[in-house]
Amino acid sequence: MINRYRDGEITSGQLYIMIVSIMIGTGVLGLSRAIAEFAQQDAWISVIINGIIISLTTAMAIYVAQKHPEMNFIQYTAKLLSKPIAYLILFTYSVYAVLSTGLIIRFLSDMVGTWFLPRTPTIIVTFIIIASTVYIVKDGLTLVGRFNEIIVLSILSFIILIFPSLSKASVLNLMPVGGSGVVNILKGVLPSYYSFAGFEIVLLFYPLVSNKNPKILKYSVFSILFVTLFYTITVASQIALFGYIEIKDILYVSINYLDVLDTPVIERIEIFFAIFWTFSVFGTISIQYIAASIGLQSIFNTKKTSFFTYLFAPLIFIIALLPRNTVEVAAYSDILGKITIFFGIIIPVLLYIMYHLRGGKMKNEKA
Amino acid sequence: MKRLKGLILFLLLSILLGCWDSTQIEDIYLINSIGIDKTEEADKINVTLIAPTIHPEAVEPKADISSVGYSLRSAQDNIQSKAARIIKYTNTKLLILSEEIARSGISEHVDTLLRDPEGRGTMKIIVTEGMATELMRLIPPVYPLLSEYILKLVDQGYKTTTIPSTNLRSFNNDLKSEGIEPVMPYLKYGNKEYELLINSTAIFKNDTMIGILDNLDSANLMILRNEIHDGFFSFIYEDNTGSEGIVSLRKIKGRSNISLELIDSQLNIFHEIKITTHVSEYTLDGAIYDEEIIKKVEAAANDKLKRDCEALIKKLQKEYVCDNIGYGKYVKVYYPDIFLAEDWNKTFSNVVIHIIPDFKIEKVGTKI
Amino acid sequence: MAELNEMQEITKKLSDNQQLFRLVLKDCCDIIYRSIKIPLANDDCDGLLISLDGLVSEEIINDYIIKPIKQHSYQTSKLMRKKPDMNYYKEIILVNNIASSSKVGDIILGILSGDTILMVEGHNTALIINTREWDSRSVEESNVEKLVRGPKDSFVEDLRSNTAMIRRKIKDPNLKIREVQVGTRSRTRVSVIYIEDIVNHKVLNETIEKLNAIKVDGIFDSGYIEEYLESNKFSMFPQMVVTERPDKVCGNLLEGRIAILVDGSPDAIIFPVSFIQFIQSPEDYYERILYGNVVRIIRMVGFLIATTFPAFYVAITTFHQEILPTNFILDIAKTRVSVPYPPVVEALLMEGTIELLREASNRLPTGIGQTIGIVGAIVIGDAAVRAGLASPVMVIVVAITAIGSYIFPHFSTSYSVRFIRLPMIIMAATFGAFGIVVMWVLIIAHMCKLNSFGNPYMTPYAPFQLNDLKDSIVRFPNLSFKKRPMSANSRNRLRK
Repeated sequence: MINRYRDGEITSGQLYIMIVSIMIGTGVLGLSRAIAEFAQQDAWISVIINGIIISLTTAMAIYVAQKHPEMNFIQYTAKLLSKPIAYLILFTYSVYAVLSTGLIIRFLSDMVGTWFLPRTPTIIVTFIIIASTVYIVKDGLTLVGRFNEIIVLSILSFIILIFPSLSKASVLNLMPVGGSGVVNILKGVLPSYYSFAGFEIVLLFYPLVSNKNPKILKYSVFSILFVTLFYTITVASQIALFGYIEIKDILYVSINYLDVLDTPVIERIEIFFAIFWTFSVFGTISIQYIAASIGLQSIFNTKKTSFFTYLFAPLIFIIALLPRNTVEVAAYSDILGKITIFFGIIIPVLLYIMYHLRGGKMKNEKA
Repeated sequence: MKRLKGLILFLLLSILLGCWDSTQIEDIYLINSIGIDKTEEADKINVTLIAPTIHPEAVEPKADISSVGYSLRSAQDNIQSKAARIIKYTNTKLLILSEEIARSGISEHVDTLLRDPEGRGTMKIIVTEGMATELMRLIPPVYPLLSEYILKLVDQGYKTTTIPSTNLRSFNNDLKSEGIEPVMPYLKYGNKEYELLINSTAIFKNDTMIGILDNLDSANLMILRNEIHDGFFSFIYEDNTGSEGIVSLRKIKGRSNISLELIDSQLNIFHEIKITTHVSEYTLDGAIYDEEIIKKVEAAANDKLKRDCEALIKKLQKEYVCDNIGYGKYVKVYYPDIFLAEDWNKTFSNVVIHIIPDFKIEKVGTKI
Repeated sequence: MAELNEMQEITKKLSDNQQLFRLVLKDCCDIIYRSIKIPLANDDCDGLLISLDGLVSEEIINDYIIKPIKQHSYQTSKLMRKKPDMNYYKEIILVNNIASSSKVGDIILGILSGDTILMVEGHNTALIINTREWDSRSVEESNVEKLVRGPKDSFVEDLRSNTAMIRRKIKDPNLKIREVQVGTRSRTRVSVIYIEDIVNHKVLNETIEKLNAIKVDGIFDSGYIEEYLESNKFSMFPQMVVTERPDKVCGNLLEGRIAILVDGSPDAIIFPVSFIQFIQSPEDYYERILYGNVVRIIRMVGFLIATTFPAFYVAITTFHQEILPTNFILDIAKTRVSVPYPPVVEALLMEGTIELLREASNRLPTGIGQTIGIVGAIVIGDAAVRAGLASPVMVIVVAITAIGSYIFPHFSTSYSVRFIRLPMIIMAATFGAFGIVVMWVLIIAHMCKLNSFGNPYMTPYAPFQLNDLKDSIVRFPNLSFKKRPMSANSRNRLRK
């Protein structure tokens, strides 16, 4: 059948939406808690700093990619950093993406098992999640892009759900602003990084955008700033409600945030938050999954991504079942969070520097 | 075709394997209220649960079961063996603590109820005189369910600015935050049978109850805590001619403004309270419809409130050594060194607090 | 029956031809063979008229074929001094549409379509004269797509009447109607209608190719064609709009879409379409903006209710009792005490009953059908509650759902909704709210995958087309529709 869009390609709009969708996922739930441990009442400042850093690195990544319009990730990385290193980077990225997907799925099953279905075996829940994800992902990137375009609307509900509990919040909990000291605020940047993780897909997906134009840089940075704004408001309102001391005890802050109020018709709106959050996490999982498949597909040059999709499914299933309890999940996420710094910050910066070094050389060669 | 077969198989399996989490409504005890008492044995508590019966032919409108255990959940286990249906706290709205339990520390119970996602954070807590079990056995004539009755009493008391409305979350918040201590409504038995009186506040230091503030003090405490809603503020007013009468002002809304100042290395707290009111009662002979007189009435009200509040604060500072009002939060923000120097409650007893009420009479009603 | 060679030609000998046709059309008692003697100057000539009783207009044959032949042939042949050829007869027969052919296949097709065949001794060409006339339904209001405001004519079974209705609304020479014959035995005429300078020719060419490639013995409704042309037959969502209304067809044609009309069927099919069109009705455009928009939003809400409400109810009462206020839950619990089985079974039973009622009321004549509907709904529902087979809340839920599923202007959508509803109830019964979420994720993924002739099904939401949002859930004033929607895939985007 004729298709207006070539298979495997996405529009620039879908790229922005996927950036937002992959970042807003599991991190939202416990973000305040992770940062408030260090930065106390100024956790929201840490979030802003983090967002700015990430916007810069993303801008660098897109800048480099824009200079190589016809090459995909592995090609221009190979050009800038030499072929074996490029293959190594892409391979480790795929491995990381697979691990990350498995861990996110496990987090989702845990959350479902805590709030919705305590007695249902984790295996069944995990199986259902993976089966649905495979259904979404097996038809390629275009479908994942369209799927996320619809799923990203659930973020609207998050924004709406911030407002009800604000009546019980007090600004006093956020003061004194800056009182915790610059060192603590900076210490808070690191744990918040995991919530922002995922934007490195820009490296992989930019070459697949069908209508490349210079504006993509601007709008991608806007997407990241939008997510930063959203996180800042969330963290600020949660700290304003609970105060940074009580927050340290609460695991799923966003859900408990809604527990402080009795609403007229539907008595507990946390269920709705959890429902929309599940949609959002499905979005995140689908993007992370296909990023892993695309990564390996570029290395091995297979024709269809669905081969790797099916290949990964049992692998991810096992990874999702590995950790024994919620605490181990948190430990593994920490480790992965540190790895993601490598892909998110170091690689773009490296590419940018190498581009300018080599690019300068190439200009000379041309002359 | 393969997909279709897989789908059918999955569907069949899911029906046959059963639903692990499904519970029928008629198989659940939707607990209305929980009551905790002390028992003769030192480390055991007595937990009572009330749930409405739903069988149309049942004799009693509610079922109440109690049992003994080391903690809330272990007692719940014992209760379950006496209960015909599954106990669920998903709709529990009220937690009743006996005074004995309150006086021996309740943080473990609060933690238990908050840990399981089943329970609600908006569960209201009250402390009762005597045993919780006895209270829960009452069947008030107006409402068949005791918990609803008590909840509505608390609601009314809160709306008339008499008692706080504490739920699990706010209690936990006050407990964990530095610079404020929790409070809770206190239930007393009235003179008649089935008459319950909730117009006093139990004050807590950390998680232990240390005292009870009676009716008037409780109302003033609410004003100081910036929970000003409805209700009347009455006082004796003496006009120019020397005759006395009662003036009652109906509170409409109020706002607090707390500012701190360090004067001669002594912390001073200035607490402005602006209350907008309407005149509801003016039993003197003259008219109140006069600017001068209104100003004088306002001044008299300010005076009365200032004296009462300062007496209350003195009580809190000297007798209880406990800051239930929340000044500590402000001190922590603006003068963190003073706050962190030593235990705030001790520091609190030496702070000089100035109450500056500002009554504003907006309307005088339909008569002059 | 003798093997019919379509390409065989008739000979010059009339008796041979007549024998051939009598053999091919043996045992067809409604074929009329009328031999006429054509009076010519030198001697009389034999002629044969073959027509199919019931499909031809006797008046035309008598007054405009036989009469002129009998009246003028003698004089003219005398004047012309030679035997007239077939072109002469073509001239004197006073009928608008005459073709000529020597192929037996064409002649048989003509006879069976209602044309009258004239064969003359000594000529091996036959005239195929259009004398078609038959009883057909008059143009009346559609039963299925009723409007309060708007034109009330709808298509009938006759292809020519239908195309005439479309021509009346669009008087543009660029409106092209191509005809394809589908079905080896039914030889049904299928018209492909489009506007030349706005349609997407790739889609058009592929459509014509596919139509020509259909190998089936007969088609009687556009539904057959729909199935052949669709790329995703097993999906529960229709990928073409089916309508009986000419104004809907014309609106879509002007946006650059293609319409197909099948002879014998009053349903036209339109493609390429996107999902949002199944929730739209022409009335939204004719009514005022506010009403049109509010009704559309109600339909969207109706869609959500019709798919998710029973599942939601099952999920709440089985898993998440904490959502509803305590009093409400207690009431539900009280009414459910007497019901012996879980809410799932209750829901499925009630759904099954409603389906039976629906099917039954479709078959019954109008008067009884309505009564049974009311009887069924009220009495059975009430009796079920009292017997303890269902709880009142369940009856209400099922009733609202049933009403909600008929809210769509496009009838087949109600089938889609039913097919979504059932698995969702089962998922909700097994996994609660999580099951509902997973089901919706799968449905959204499925809808995103669907292509209607190359056009993504979920336009304008995914991929996001800002301009097309003007006419999706809410519609903006007609004046602001300057461009044609992307979903129509047309070449010419500005509305001129």
